[in-house]
Amino acid sequence: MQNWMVFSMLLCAKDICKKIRGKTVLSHVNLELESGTIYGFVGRNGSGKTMLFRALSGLISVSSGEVTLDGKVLRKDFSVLPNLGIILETTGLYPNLTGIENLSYLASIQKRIGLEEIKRAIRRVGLDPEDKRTYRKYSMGMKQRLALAQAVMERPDIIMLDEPTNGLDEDGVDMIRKLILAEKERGAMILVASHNKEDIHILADQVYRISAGVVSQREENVQ
Amino acid sequence: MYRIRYDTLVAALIGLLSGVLSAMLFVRPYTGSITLSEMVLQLSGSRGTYEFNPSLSEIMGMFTRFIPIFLFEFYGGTVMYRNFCTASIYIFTRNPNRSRWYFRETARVLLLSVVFAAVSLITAVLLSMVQYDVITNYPGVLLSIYHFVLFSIWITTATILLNLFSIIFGTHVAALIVIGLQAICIAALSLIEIEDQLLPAVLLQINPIANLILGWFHSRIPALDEAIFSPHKGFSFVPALFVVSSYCLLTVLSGRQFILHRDILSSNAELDGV
Repeated sequence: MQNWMVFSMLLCAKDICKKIRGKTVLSHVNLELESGTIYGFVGRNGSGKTMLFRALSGLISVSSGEVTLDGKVLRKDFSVLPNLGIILETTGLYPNLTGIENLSYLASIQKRIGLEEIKRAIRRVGLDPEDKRTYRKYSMGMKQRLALAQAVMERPDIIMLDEPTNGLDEDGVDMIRKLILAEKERGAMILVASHNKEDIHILADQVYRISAGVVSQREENVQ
Repeated sequence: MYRIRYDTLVAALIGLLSGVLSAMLFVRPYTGSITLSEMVLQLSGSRGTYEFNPSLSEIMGMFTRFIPIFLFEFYGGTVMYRNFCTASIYIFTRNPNRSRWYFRETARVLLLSVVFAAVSLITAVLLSMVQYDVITNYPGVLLSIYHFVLFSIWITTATILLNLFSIIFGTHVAALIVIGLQAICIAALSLIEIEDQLLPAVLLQINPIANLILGWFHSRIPALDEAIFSPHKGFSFVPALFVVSSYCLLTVLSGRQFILHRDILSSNAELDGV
């Protein structure tokens, strides 16, 4: 049986800046993030939370500065963070596939897990793996749950969740919070961006505030 | 696998529509029977036994021939784009080899284009056989192959281009650009009337649509050359294949560079794509 516990990792952002069409979207961001911790990022819409996640994951390049993982430079030593689970904005999955077909297709890329783990991940988020409905027929809450399932199904070392409780009912929100805490217990490094202060208050060990691309000094979160 | 099946079915359906329209609108056996060679020439622009002559009505006719192709390009032009929107997060974070992803998607577009072109041609031929007395001849078989190969490559090129522009501008603007460019190429066919001048001749040679008009071709195969009977000197299959293939290769390689270096700033250039 595979050992799913995460070895300790250090993700650093060293003075990263990002400009898009002359506009600064990230400004001199410095972070040191460790495994087994939940980091909350709070800020208004358009403050740069999503852009920060894109930069930290390697989906976009940075105009200056660098992102490192255990000393290795992102976009130089590797293209994207290895073993990453991510939800960004409201990115959809394949509309003509069922939930399990979607996740099976994604899981087939790295071949780290089998069908049983996929089904387990789907059940963890409160969905039915035998549901024959295609993704296009899902409600917003179901889509969000499936996105969460794909983010955690391969037991990633680093998890980035952008507004993870969007579109969920009260039971769904509670379930997702428990799931995130369970992933923290496993040792994953978890980044949660939310404009919902209650999510951050309940989940985060440390909180960063972000405004106009500037990340302010962290606060220890008193839960 | 699931995605390929669905998209292939749609490509085949559009091909079926294309074949029916082509057979009904453009295949005209003025004597009641028609050779396969004459039929294929009509599918690629000829009118009766006359090669494509760029009068306004025939230019419009050529544009009408391309409408089903534009429909396919519009559908196929979102295939890679839609996958890019999803892939940009869920696939590239699992497999950072964007090159491999891109070539796989390009192969999918090629497959869909080939299915479309094949179903379109086969449907047109079969429907014509039902309506008329179609005489199968050796030049007709060759012309069918030329028609299928050239159109498949060109449709693949335009469809990949539409996908790439969709990633930048969204599908509607991309369609305007790609279809608009082809419309200009169709209008530019009128330069055949002054093909003895250097600049028009060069422009015609590099015009991808001009290289699809089989009625303008010459051939070293005597039976084929006799069947086409083109008064024009500048076109034949191998150079035409080189021109359309060059556009295809340029598009594919440029697209690879674009995909490799594109920052994934947004997941969708428009609400939910097409």
